[in-house]
Amino acid sequence: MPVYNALVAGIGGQGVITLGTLLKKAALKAGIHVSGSERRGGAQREGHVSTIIRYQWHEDGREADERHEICSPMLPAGSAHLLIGLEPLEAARLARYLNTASTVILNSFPLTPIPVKLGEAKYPPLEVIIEMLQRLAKRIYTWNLTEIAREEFGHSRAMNAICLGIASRVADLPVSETSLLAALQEEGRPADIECFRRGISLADAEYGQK
Amino acid sequence: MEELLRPQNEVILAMGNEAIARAGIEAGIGYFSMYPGTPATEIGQTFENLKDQLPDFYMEYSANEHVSLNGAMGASWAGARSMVAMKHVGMNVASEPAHFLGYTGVGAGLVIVIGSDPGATSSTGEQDDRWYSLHTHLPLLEPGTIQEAKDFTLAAFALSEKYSLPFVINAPSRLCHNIGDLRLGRIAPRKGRGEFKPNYQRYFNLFGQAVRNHQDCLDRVAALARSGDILAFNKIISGDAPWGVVTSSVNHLYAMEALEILGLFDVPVFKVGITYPFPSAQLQEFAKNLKKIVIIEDLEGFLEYQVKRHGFELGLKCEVIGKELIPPSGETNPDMALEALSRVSGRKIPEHISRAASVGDEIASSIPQRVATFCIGCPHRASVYAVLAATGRNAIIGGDIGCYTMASLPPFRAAEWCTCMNCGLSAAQGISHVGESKPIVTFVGDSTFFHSGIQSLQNAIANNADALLIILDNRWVAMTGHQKSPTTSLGVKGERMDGIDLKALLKALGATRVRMVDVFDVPRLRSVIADELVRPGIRIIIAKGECSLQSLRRERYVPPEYGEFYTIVRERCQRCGACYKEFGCPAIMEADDEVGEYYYIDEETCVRCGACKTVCPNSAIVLSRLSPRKEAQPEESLRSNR
Repeated sequence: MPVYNALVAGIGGQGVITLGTLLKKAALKAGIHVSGSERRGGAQREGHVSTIIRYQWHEDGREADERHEICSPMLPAGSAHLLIGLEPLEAARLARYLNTASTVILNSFPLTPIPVKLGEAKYPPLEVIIEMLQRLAKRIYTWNLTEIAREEFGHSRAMNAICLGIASRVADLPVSETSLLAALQEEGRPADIECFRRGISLADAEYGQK
Repeated sequence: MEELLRPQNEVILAMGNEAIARAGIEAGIGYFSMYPGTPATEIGQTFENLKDQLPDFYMEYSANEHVSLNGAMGASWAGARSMVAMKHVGMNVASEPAHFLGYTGVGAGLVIVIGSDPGATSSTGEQDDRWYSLHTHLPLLEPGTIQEAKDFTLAAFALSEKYSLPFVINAPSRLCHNIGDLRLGRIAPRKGRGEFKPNYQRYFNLFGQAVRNHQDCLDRVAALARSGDILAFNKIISGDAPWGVVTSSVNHLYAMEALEILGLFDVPVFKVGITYPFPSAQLQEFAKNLKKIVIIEDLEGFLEYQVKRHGFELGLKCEVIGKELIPPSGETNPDMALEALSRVSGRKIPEHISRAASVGDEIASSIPQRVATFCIGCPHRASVYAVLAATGRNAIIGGDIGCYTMASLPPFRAAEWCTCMNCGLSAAQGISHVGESKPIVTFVGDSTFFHSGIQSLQNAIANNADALLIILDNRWVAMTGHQKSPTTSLGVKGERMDGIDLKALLKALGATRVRMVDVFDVPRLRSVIADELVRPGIRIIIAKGECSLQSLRRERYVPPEYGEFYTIVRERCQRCGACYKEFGCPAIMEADDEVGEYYYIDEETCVRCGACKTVCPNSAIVLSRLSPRKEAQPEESLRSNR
């Protein structure tokens, strides 16, 4: 059974879970299986939050057999096709899931963890974080999405829909742009659609049409 | 959430917990209760959101798990199919009724759902609740997929009635919080009103009657074990290899993926869905030609114990290995299953996986940790900060369970212990009775206090203990997503509720010193703490401040442009770090421009609690009516926050 594995990483309050749920809803629209767990628990902020999205589908109408049905909540190392990092450090924390064919969409805007505020640790420069990710993944796409979201849409959380738009262009998602848009439309916020389109235009302007 | 009421055969996106709730709906339950606890909380949230659309259905968030399970027992006796959910440690509190339920049996089907937490990502422990079944004798199901979570739970109701035993569903957090597609089944018609049918022989356990019911319980479990009813929960995947895998729960999925990655398509797998009573006959059939059995499971080897025990009784000759390969603590994952099966088979883990794991772990260990902290505007930040300021850290500080558990994390590092609910004051009084000279301060949240803290406090007062109890009354069960607490008096839609008068309750328990302080006035809170610190006996401060997430929800429709803004006046700020480092509110950020580094308050995330204004020793934080965004601010400063 072919699979496609995506990860979203960030910190509490950024919208990691929401973005993951949108990617999963798109699977229902596309009529394929999806699973994947998330790290939640408590309403506390500023902690690491990540969610796993595993798409699975049947090839050539073949039904799943007991050996190949996965629907697992977790991922083995080196098996993510896509990592969306809403915060650079939190993307690096999940580097163990990357391989040379992985695509990384990275928001370059850093959020300072408490040990760094207290002077107990240093936040690595963005170039160093990108180098870390490059040890495993080759395709890394970076923007300051927080700034784009705030300046153009008035709120940093707009970056979630922007990320979806970018992903629809730079990653080989098994769900189409139409399915992603349908999932987004169900949320009932017309502004999200604009953000999604902005994501597409960002990806096209920077890296050309796929 | 509405999708959970869709008709049969539709496919929806559901969380494991929602699938379990849907099973309750399909079974036509009339009663649900729980004390909120991660990872099981969303089961209750689902019922809370749907309760008005379910006829003849009652739900409650109970004071604690003991009350919750006893309530469900009563509802079941009165003929309503009932469900109780709890986190794994909740079973300790519910264990008393759980131990009687086998004796008494049920009326209508009763299912107990336990959300377990291997890895303790949202708990103070990772106890393996499966062992409880060896002494409660309650049948134990371990679903692995979202679909199984629903299907097993639904099947459990009918079997619970057939054998007059409550069934336990054990769902690890990775299943509770797995979100994926779920195929729905038929919703059974709901029963009407309940009717208690007396059954004195069963329900009244005393002397010889208790002994007879004990035996009867064991007989019913034995009947279930011998029956064909347990077969459908298990699956044997055949193969010709001389060794096989026995697994349960989500670990089955990790094992199957690992076998596929290693190309081991001939290894037979026994996936056990009911681990108590154990399907012995199926083990015999599975193992008859095997030389070795490898067990892949989370935590302390319950499945391994069952296989070894039943294997011994069956006279199986094969070797059984489990916990030698996968540690009994921490959460199992696909990489651990891969490693274990690679070691047993001698097959190499593919290079792209082993390299990613080693390089990835090296990267993760080289970057700063991200520790969770209180939300922006959290009343607990103000309380913990005030305690540290008042005591100068020259006090023993007890922790407890709730959002304020994070008082132990940087920058505060302010709590010395945390184990179970109400460990704070309960342990503090013991410390005070043996001559400790430092003052003792101990925290408890409003919901935790009502869970089991009233007895602790009554005991401490009656025995003249010495401690300052700070009740952090944020008006909600906040940590688990804002369920109503006994003190909730105003809902997020502005609805009035009859919250308990906490102060009156404390007085009734015999407390002589009770003071109530608004936490967002930090200097006043600090001085009240300093004043109470030096007094003898039990002193109580109710640190009152609503969870900011809830007050924000209530004020969602007030456009921030017309609200109030807190800003740091750069000319007055001495960069002393009181707000940025010691108070540590995440909405206070650092930036730099040509003049130098400075602190600022992020307008987008600040919730305007005002606590930082009272913390600043230089009066540099001011309240203004004008958005700072509208003033000229250096472009660069917004770009870099360091």
